[in-house]
Amino acid sequence: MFFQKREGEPWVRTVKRADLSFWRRVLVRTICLASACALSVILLAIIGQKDPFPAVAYLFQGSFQNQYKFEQSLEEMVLLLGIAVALAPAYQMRFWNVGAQGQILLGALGTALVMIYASALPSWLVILLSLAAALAFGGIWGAIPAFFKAKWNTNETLFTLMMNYIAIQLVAFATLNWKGANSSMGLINSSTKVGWLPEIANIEAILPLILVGCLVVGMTVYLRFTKHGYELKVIGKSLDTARYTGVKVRWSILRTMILSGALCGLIGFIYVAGIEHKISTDLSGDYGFTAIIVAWLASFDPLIMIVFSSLIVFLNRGAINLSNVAYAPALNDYSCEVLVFFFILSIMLSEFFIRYRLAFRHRERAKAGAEVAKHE
Amino acid sequence: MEKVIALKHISKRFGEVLANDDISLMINPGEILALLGENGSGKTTLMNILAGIYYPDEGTIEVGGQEFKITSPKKAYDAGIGMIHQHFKLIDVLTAGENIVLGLEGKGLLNLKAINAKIALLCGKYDFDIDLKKKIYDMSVSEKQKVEIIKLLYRGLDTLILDEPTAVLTPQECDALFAVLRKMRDDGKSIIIITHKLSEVLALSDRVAILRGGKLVRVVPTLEADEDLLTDAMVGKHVEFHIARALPFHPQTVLEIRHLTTLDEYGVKTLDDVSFESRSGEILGIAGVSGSGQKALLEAIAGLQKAEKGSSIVFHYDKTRLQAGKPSWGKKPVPHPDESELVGKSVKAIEALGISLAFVPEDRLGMGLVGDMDMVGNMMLRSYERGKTPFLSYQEPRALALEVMKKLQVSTPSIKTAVRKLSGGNIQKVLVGREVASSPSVLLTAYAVRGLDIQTSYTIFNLLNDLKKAGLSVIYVGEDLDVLLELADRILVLCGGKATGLVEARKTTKAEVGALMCGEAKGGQDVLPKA
Repeated sequence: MFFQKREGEPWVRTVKRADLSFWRRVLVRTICLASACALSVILLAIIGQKDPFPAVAYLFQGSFQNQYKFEQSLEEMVLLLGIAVALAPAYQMRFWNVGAQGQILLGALGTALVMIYASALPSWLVILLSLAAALAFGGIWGAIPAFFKAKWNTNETLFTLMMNYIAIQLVAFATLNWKGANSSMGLINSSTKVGWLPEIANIEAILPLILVGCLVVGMTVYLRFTKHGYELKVIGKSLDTARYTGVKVRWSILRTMILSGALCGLIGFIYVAGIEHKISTDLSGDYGFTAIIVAWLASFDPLIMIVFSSLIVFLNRGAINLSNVAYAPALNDYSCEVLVFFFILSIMLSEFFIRYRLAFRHRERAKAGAEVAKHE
Repeated sequence: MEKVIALKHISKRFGEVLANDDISLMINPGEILALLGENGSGKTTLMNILAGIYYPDEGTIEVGGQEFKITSPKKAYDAGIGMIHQHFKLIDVLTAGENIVLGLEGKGLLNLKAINAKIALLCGKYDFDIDLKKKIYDMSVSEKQKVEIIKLLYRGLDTLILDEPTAVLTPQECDALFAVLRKMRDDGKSIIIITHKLSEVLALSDRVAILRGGKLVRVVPTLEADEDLLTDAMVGKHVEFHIARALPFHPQTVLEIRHLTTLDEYGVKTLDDVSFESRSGEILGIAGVSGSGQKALLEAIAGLQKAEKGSSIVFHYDKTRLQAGKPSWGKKPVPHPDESELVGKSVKAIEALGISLAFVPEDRLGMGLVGDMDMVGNMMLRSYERGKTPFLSYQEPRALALEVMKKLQVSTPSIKTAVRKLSGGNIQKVLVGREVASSPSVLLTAYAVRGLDIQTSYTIFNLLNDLKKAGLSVIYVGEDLDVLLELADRILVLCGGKATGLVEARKTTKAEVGALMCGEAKGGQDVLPKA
């Protein structure tokens, strides 16, 4: 009876919903998140072959076990958030910049160059100079694909992606050239600490947190309340409308990508001057790409990005912690990654269920039948 | 197999919208049935159900007294039903003949000789002259339509549904199509035409079914119907519609267009040496089959389309009327000369000259507005750059949004609702309201009432007439010749990018404009300016 359907008709289809109220949306998201939690616990029980709840505790320990782990998580979250915010203006106008990694590396390279070659200058001056170099290098790296896009309408996704590899090679070349203390293995100015960002209250993460905090606020204001922000939205929604309004689209693309690249460069600066104090090709890991997910999940809204960058860092660190502790031999890196995947999937599914619902034909018919009966 | 087709209690829902609500309708062999209704009344949905594109949520279809489940277009063919959509479903790079045999069943090689003979027989029967070897992309719209018809006839179908078949045809082509349809009816075929044009219904059909808001409100034999009855049934209440056209008051030349030539992205001429003048206090209608250069013309005037060498668009400042067009972003008003050349100037540059051109483009949500933004965001689309700070000012746009909402009776939950969620008529009101608010000297409109219901259409017509009385030069690109003849003062006819005539709307006839639309450049009473 349940699957009874008439010949040729689908028994389930998606139907667009009317706008849901705020609380209904919260409910949909909660249900999705809860099912991701349930699925994860079930998966842990199956793979680990024992009580899954201690594993959940290990997941939390990844970020909250002690102060050190918390500071590390905070630092990672701040950097991931910073990159996502840097991508926001480009994404608002639908310029798919996947070159954050390269732009960060170039910013880092600029910082390292100044730190190495201007090490005789006072530290505060080196910091300012290296910040300027990072912004300029990142900005140029962002401007190149934008120029080609504006001039010849090249595909920005491919272009920015390829620029990443060039950036990696440039950094590799530079580090190989500076053999010894300045190479990727060694700290830059390790004895004098020239050009190192000061630690506030002895915690490395605080200054980056303040910088990125300002960035989030600034970007929110820029996108919501300025003429530039408005133009970006118009370009992103409809190129024809932008043309109709008289927006200089090419100049906007260039300007925005210089901004986006420069802000990625700023993150590179924070990496080298504030955290790592060295340069290597895998400086930012894969956060240049993870940030894309953060930006998308947050619909390019810097404030919402805070939530998603925290969540992703929490999950990532939890998963790594879980695979490191001796909890269940069958749990390795990969099975832990699956947990992260469940959560991201649940977030995406909740967005789907906020916009659409599934309609089952047999149920609709039963409902219609009931209505008819009521009338009669 | 000429059989009666019966739709029984058909209902179809899309999300919140009940597109078809318990519709029962008989379709008899040997008759032309007109399906009349405003946009969004459910005509096309109902026919898509009959043609197997949608499956009804409720209800059944009977063919010759037997229930027949039409779950796909293929099944519809089996029932003898075929549909010609508004946007033709032909493969551009194939020939007419190839398109006709495309999708036929059978194994191995096609017997092209027999097929061609059969097609030729059909063509002879209905007086189609069509070159089967011609590629679709070389064909005119009416030729493509013929291919579509032959395609259905070749499959032996006897119920043909045509969705707005005359929307893209000239009056002459319409007459030819009607003759073919009548002949097919006399052969015992059922013809259903979906339309919202009353004149067509009365001229062609035997029976008319009127839909309103998804419901079938009336079925009458055409002989017993007249325009009033049909309009009342379509709108749902008795209404008097007329356009009060006043004579232009002291018309002065506002735009002087000379030798305007534009190219598209492939270097093909979209406008070819077009010259005319627009005058204050008058509505200049632009007639032509769609794609004759209307878009390029309006965009060239608005500063969105590059004009070729030798082109000239001169704007004459009004000396009697105070210039209301404010210079943008707080610059001091520049004392302007008597006239300005607009060719080669961008949108912003034209604005900076103190010239206010209002432009209501054809693609409302894709060009004139941003669908995802609310009314306030859309109101500032043209004025967001005003003010010296880098920040947006929301105050004026908000006031304007409220004003437009009140004055034009935009029905929306609030000015904070994304405009794409509004109905077509309200979207157009938002767009027109914003454009008119800048007190322009010229108003360019492209297909201003396309897709709007009758009442909203007349609201727009009356608004245009008011603007004309206020001294604006209105350029109205239209597709409905009846409306153009009633609304405009003069009509410029375009054909293939060339201006084939400029006629006085009060003195010309539909046939004359139709002939000009086909490229028979005769010129009207109003002779084109000498080159």
